[in-house]
Formats: sequence, structure tokens, C-alpha cells
Amino acid sequence: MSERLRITGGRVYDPRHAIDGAIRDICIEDGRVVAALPGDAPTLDAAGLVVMPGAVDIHSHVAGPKVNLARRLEPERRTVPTVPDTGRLYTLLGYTTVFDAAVPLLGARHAHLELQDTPLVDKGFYVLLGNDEFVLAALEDGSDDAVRDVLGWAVRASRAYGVKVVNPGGGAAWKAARGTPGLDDALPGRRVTPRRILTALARAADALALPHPMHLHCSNLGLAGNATTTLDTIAALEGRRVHLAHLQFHVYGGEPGGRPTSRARELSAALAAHANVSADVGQVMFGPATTMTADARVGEMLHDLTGRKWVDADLELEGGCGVVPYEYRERNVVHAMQWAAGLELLLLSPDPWRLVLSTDHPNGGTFLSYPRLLRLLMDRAYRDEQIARVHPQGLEGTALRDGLAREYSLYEVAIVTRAAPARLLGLEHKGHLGVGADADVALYAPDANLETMFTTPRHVLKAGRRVAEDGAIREETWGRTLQATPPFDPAVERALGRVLAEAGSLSLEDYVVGADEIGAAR
Amino acid sequence: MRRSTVDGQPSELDAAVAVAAGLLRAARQPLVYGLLDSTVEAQRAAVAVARRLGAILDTPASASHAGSFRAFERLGAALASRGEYRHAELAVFWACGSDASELAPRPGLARVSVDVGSARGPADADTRLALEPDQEIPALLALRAFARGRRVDAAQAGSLPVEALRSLARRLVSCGYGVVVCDADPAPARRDACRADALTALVRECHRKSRVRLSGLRRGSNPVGAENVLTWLTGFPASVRFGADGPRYGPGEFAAETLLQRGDVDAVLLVGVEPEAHLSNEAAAQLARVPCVALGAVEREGARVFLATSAFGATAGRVFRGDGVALRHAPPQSSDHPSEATVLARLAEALAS
Amino acid sequence: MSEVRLTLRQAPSVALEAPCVRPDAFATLSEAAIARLPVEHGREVVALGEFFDVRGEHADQVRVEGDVRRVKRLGAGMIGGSLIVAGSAGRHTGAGMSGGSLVVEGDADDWTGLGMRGGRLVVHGNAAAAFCGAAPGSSRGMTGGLAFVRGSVGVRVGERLRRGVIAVGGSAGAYAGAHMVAGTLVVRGALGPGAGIGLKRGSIVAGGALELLPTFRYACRYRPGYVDLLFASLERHGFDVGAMAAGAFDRFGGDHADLGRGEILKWTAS
Repeated sequence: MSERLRITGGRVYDPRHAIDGAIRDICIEDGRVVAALPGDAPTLDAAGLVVMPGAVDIHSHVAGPKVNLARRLEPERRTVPTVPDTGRLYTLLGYTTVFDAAVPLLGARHAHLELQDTPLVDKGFYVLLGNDEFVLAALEDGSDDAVRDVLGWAVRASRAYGVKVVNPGGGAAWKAARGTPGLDDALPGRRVTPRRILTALARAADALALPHPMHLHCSNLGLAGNATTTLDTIAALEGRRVHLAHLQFHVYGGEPGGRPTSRARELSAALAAHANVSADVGQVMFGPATTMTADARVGEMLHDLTGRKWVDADLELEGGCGVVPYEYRERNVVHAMQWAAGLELLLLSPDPWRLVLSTDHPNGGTFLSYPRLLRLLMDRAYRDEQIARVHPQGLEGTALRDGLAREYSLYEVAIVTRAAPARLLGLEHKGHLGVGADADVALYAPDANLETMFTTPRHVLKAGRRVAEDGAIREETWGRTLQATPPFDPAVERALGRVLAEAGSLSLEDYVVGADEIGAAR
Repeated sequence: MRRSTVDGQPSELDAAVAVAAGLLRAARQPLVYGLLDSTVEAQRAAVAVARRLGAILDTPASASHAGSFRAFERLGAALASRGEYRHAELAVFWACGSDASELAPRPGLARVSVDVGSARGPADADTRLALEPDQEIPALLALRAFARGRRVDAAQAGSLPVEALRSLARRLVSCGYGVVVCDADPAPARRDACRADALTALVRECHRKSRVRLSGLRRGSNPVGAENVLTWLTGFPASVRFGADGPRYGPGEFAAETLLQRGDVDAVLLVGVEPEAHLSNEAAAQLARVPCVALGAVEREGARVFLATSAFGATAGRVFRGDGVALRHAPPQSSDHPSEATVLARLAEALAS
Repeated sequence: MSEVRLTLRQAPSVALEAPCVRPDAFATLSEAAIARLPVEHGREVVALGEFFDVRGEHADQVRVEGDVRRVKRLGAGMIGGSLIVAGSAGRHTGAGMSGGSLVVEGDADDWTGLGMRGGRLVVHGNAAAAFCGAAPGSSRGMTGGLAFVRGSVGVRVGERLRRGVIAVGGSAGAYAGAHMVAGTLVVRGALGPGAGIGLKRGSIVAGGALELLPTFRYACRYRPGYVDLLFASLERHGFDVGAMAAGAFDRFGGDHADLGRGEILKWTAS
């Protein structure tokens, strides 16, 4: 017997179908939105409630080796939730789809083990490439086709949804000799430059028609003056599709080695001028955070800055990672600037379909701070109160000083948390409530305090099931693991095998995640 | 084929599982212990059973790896997967051997063995340094002081081989890539609360100037799987109590050794472990007095309920290599017995009903 | 009534988790409400009154009687009032306490005063491992208050001490004052191996035998003025500094394997 539910009388926000608060019924059958239901179908009264598709997190860190190292690192603070709590807490905020942004090839099996144990949400990850011997060797041989096949193989072998490139070439150079190459500097002992890696992988992702373009963490994260790097990177891509991860961390002015300032305005203009570029903001939120990144240089920098404990790990034939506990403080001038820069990006955003929400959980703050971030965007009076609290020097030169009046509407919120990330990810059935959509739905009771409203949805539905209500899990279901399935020429396996035989500790088969290694563990 | 037993008498698996569930449910404070020679699948099933029971969950690492857990939680770590060791120019074997072929003798790799008492490193090391057991921690601190560019007063150094340590520190801070290998699951007589901390701090200090990683040798089939699975499911790597307010971490406090010694558990579920190999005689004696459910390929004397499972070596599943890489374990021969994971899932069902 | 008296009526068969026993909390509760407070006996949540006779109410003076060595977390997190354990106490007694007075008239078990933030903690007998130590992963152990042990303490007393004073009348086990960040640890008797390992700042005053780590360096022999101020304050709290009332101290700076701005003051009669 089919499962049916009619959500009646709610104010629906479905930007993909240009529905902006119209009173509509949403009909659900067997986990999908359908056009109509028989009159006797069960109903869920949504009168007075705001109805949105389930939210989609395009950039988070929720599964895999470095996330688990972070959990172990901080028994005293627990900033990084366990896997069961990750699924539950996301769901309780109305998020129903989550992507981990950085899993190395050799960590794919581990990441899938954690995803198997992650309840409720649909999930997936982007596999890391661009500092690995496989891509670098293919580029040395000079063939872009070879890079395309490495990418195809990597996505298939790891059962990833997309590809993530972190500090292209810079990770390899850092590991080899603490190098920080510019776009056109050859990597140590190689003929390959970061520009070549970038463009080859962007082209390969397009050639394979991956649902999500290359997901790029630009070079020089966190360093004064890195806005130039980011602008150069956009130029280097020459119009090819790219998603820039946690843009806020890449918009800094100032002298190299000095205190960073915000050049968010320029990056906003660049975003406006380049329709091929999308980004998630990587907002910094005051309070505890845990930095975790495949950009090992950043880990070392933060350890030196804080003196806090630090996990620094190298992965054979690939890059490595760094994990450092962190705390963003209102009265710290750099933190205030970072906070402001993220808000500038969002408030100056030329196109909400191309600049979406993230805190780069847990790097800029945990995903639990999303409701507060939404309030900052939607409620100018609240925002002004918060602006008055932070270190004034951090705001110097930012657009926040100009008294940005913009307030996000519920419609725009539905874009930056649902419709846009789903579209950028190529998820046809997510981020909207049209016929055929996955019946992932969040229903909110309007509240003058928008943080309150978004912290506790009245109801959350996942694949048509009522999984959460008023801040409590009602039913623990299991979502799907989302993967892309690009083609590749099997001949590439010979070349990969050669790399492994020369310098690895495992065989190619060890890298391949089986079909039986994904899906719910129970 | 080996049968499950109840009170020593052969039993069908389902009947034995039902008795086991009743026994565990009747306990005030059950302990789930082991998970060492278990696949990831069995480990996560054991966590589910412990959670359902409101049990304390512990592994042998709570004793053997305690110093390493503490060091990790205080300082973090400088790690590498073992394939990286091919870059090594210097390997320091701190009172142990190695499990990585990459650190076998080869041109371009200098191998130093630091021998502590009877704990000796590889016989074919290029250089050796011998320490008495009570010199070990002082030597690690002296190395670190040298790596920081500090001096050590002769008056305080006593009988420490100061010049040899100074020279070793110099090599560690000037090598292109160094690996310090240590025993991360030392035998009881070699356990020390601060050794892993001192090794981690030393490696961190050297890494400021060169590139040095710490490699901890593990014992057992899947200890790294156990700490990973426990961490992603509970937040903690061992010694977890599922209390009224969720999982709580108690290194030492919720460790099998002291729980047994103090009589603070009144039923035990053994999974993937031969407990006598990891417990003191006192704790093992107490274990023999507590009602016990044991899973395994070999029947356990004195267990109220024995649930026959396939041996680890004959169980397909996933395991973690010592350096933290998850791999697929495909046994050459399969078993007629159900896996631990299967039996634990049945036990969880029986506990739910 | 000016006191709440808890008398153990039934011995727990496994450890009993009783962090609800806090004088500051009892101050606002009736006898019946105190008896209803939840404790965890193994995996069962039961009422405090199942195990203890409760006499008295609305008082922040609390006395616990009976063999409570299996009762854990007495006074944990207390912020004021007075708690007296008439015998020996279980693990984690007074962990995280930030105010008030806690007295254990017998011995104290592991992790007593763990992460203590303030108040006064007195143990008449011996204290086991990690007295006034640090919670797993925490960069700081005790961050304030005064803690006295008349007898001896086990391993790792005062680990990662950040602020406050710990004074021990007997000896201390291995790694006393490990990774101290600041604060003062006084031990009248002998110190076990590894005292002061990783000392960043702070002072360890050692009255008895001590094997120094090689990464401490001798500075001078003197009697620092602040030691007399410290001792006067300890004496006022009833702690007998014994022979250290006279004599001099050898000052060793360290730990030079770490920051090295701490000191061990080793007492000498001359």
C-alpha cells in the first residue's frame, strides 16, 4: 500500500517554481511529490506554517578520517558531533541532504562506513584530487584525456558525488618542501603548475558531465592578500564551471604576512561578472569551531597561531590534513573582519542562485549556527546590534560600515539554503516541491525571532516520512548515498597501477569501494 | 561444526541468544568488552548492543593504549600513512620494531634503534643507543630540550648518554623526513602514563624544523577499527558508559580492568577478545566469577552462554590498518558459522523484544 | 534544621553515580525532594532515597555517612555550602567544584577534585590518582581554589594545574604537577619519578626526596619570600608545613623540554 500525505494550507516557498509564499497543498505519495491525491488521503495541517523543501548543505565536513580524528581530539568540547547525532541534528534544523566536501581516495571506504551509520539525511562526498600522484603523473604525461579518465575512475572507485580540489598543487608542494607555489610556479621536481591542475580538472569535470562542477578550495586560504589569488583563479578558469568553496576565507586584502582586510566587494563584483562561478560563503560564526582541512599548511598556521593541539597527517600519494580546535571571538580584530566579510558577500550577493549558505562546518562554526546566520541576513536591527559588539577595526573598509540595508526574504532564504545548492549540485529531485521532487519538506512556525523559527521546525519530512516534530526525532529513517557515475577508459587503471606499484603500499583494488559498502548499515 | 552452548550444554543459536539476552538484561551494570579481533561490522553491532543495554563498552586499548589516548587528546598527533615512509631518510625505532616494509634497510635510510632495557629495536639497525628503563622518559625530555636548542646541565643529566642524545636530536631536526616508531600497545610492564606524550611532543618539536612523523605499532587484528567505530558512534575511542544522559567517556574509570577489580560490573559480554591476555590476574579472577556471554570461534570455559561464530580470519568485512586506512578483509576460506556481526544483530533483536 | 544528613542504608552492588549530592542544591529542597533526586545505579535510574536515609532539608550543610566508597561524584560541580563525607569517598568526589567546602574525613579515590575551579577541598586521609587533575583533552586541570591532603596522593596530582594551590602532607606518586600551566603544588614528603614533567610555569615545592628530570636546571639556594606567605596561608587553613617552616630551597627552573618557565623548589634543612 502506498504512503500518502497531503500537507494542507501552508505558505509555500519553492523558488525553482517561482512560488513565493502562496498558499498551496503539497501532495506526497511514496516519498515523492505528486500532483494530486484522493480526497481521503491523510493530511498534515500546515495552516499558518512556512513550507519549504528540505535544506541542502553543499559544503560540510561530516564523515571520514579527519572528521573522526577531530572527534577524538576533543573529548572535552565535542564540537564535532558523532555520526548518529550529525544526521539527527541536521534533520532537526530541516536539512535533509548533506555533502562532505573533502574525502581523500584512500579515506573513501572510511567515509562510507560513517555515512552508512548516518541516519535520516541523504548524503555524499566530493573526492579530493589535484595534489595526488595520479593526477600529477597524468599531467606530466601531458594528456588532458588521461586526467579525465583519472577523475572518472576516482569518482567511480570512491563512489563520490563530485570532485574537490584543495589548494591545487600547493598541498603537494607543501608536503614536499613547505612550498607555496603561485599559479604559474612549477611544483617541486615537476613540470606541472597549479594553473595546469586547475584547468585540467575543471575541464575534466565538464567533459564527464559531473552533476556538480569542480568544487574548488583556492590557494592561500586565510592569508592576507589572497583575494588576488582568488581573482586570478577565476580568470584562469576562462569561463569554465567552478564552485568556489567557503569564499569568505579567500577574499582578503592586506600585505602578505600582515593583517588581512576584506576585499569582499571586489569578489562580489567578480561573482557578478562571471556567470560560470558559484560559491558557498563559509561564514564565520562567533564561538567554538574546529578547523579541519586537506590544506595542511592551514593546519600548521593555525597551530602556530593558537598553540592549541593539532593533528597533522600525511596520506601516501595524496595530500594530507590538519585539524586544530579554534574559537572565533567578537573582540578579535581578524575574526571580526572574517565575520564581516562573509556577511558582505551575502548582503552584496549579485545572485542568490550562485552564492549559497555554509559555515564550512565545523571550520567557521558548526552547522547548528545556521539559524543565527539566517537571522543576521533577515533582520537588520538584529544585525546592527551584533555589528556593534564586534571589534570595530575589523569592520574598517567593509560594506557593513555603509549600513547595508538588505534583508533576505523567506524566498531568498529558500534559494540560498535549498533551491540553489540543489541546482548547483545537479540534484533534479531536491530543493523544490514540484511534481517528482523528493518529499523532503521542512515546515516552520513563523516567529518574530527568526533564529527561533529556523532552529526548531514544526515538522520535518524525509522521503515523505514525518521524521521530526518540534525539536524531537519522531522516526529514524535512513537516507541514500548519492553518487555520480561518470564513464572512464579502463586503460587508465594500468597507469594508476604503475603509480601504486612504484610508490604505494596498496593495490588498485584496495582503493575501490564495493557496491555492498554503501547504504544503511542496519 | 561447533555448537553454541548454554551452561556447557549444546544449544541452538537462537535459544542461546535468548538466554544471553535474559542474562544481560538482568544485570545492573553489564560490560561489553573486546572488539579487538572483530571486523568493523561486528564492532558497530557491539556498540548497538551496548547502547541498547545501557552497558559500559570497553576494549583492551583502555589499558595498553591509555598513554597514547592521553597524548592524542592533549597534543594531537603527527601521522602519516605507511606508504609515506618511503620518503624517510631517518627511522628511529624507539624500543620496538616496525610493521612497515618501507622502513626496512635500504639505501638512503639511516636506521637508529633506541633500546630500553630488554625492549630492543631491529637487530640490523645502523646505530644503537641503550637506555635503562628509568632513563627512558628523561632521555625523551632531553631530546626534546636539545631539539628546542636548550642545553641540559650535566649535574642533572646523571648517567644519561647526553652526547648520543644530542646527536640524535640534531639528526631528527635536520633530516628531510624522519619517522619515529614506537610500541603503541606496550605490555603491562612497559606501560607509562607519559611516554606517548613525550614522544608526541618530541616529534612535534622536531617537525618545526624538519618533517618527522610518529608511527605507533598496534597489536591485535583491528584495534584501530575499534577506536574509529567507537569514536564515530559515541564520540570516544574506548571506556564509554551509556548512561541516562548518553555516552560518557571515562578513561580508567570505565576501563574493564578497574571495573572488574572493583566489582563494578555484574555481567560481561565478550566479543573478539581473549580477555586473560589483557587483564591482570585479579581482574581475570573476578571475570571468572561474573556471568559471562562469550562470542567466538573457540568455546570459552566457564561462560554461561557461548555463541559460536566464525573466526576473525574467516570473516569477510572491513578492518583498519594500523595507520588508520580502512581496508576490505576478504578471507581465503569462508566459515559455516555466522559472523560476530550476525550474532550480535540477533542479540540486539532479542534485547529489543 | 541546619544540616542535611545522608546515611547510607543499602550498599550499592555496583558503582552509584550521585552527582546530585550538592549542598548548594539541597539548600532549596525539602527532605522529600532530596530523597527523590535521581542517581544511577548501574543502568538503572533510582531515587537517592533508595540508598540513603535523608534527614533534614533546606540546608547547605551536608553530611554523608556510611561506606560510600562506591558512590561517585559526591559534590561534583558544587558551587557553595559545605559537604562532609564522614568516611572514605568514591571516585570523582568534588570534580569541577567551584565553591564551598568539601571535606573527606577518610580517603579520597581517583579524580577527586578533577578540574576544580574554586572552593576548598580537604582530605584527611590519602587521595588516589589524579587528585585535582585534568579532564581528558582539557588544556587545564584545576583552575582555582585550595586543596589539602593530610596523607599521601597517587600519580599525577595537579596535572595541568592552571591556578590555585594544592598541598599534600605526605608523599606524591609519579608525575606530580605534570604539564602545569601555573599555580602552586606543595608536597611535604617524597615525590615520585617525573615530577614537574612538561612544566610550563608555576611552582612545585618539594619537602622530601625527589629525582629531578634532566631538563630542570639549578639556579640558586634561597628562601623566597613568597614561600613564607604561602606557608602562613596554608597554616591558617590548618595545613602543617612541618620542617619546611625553616631551612632553604634549591631552585630548579624548567621544564626546558617545554616552555621552561616553572620552578621546583627543593627543600633543604641548611
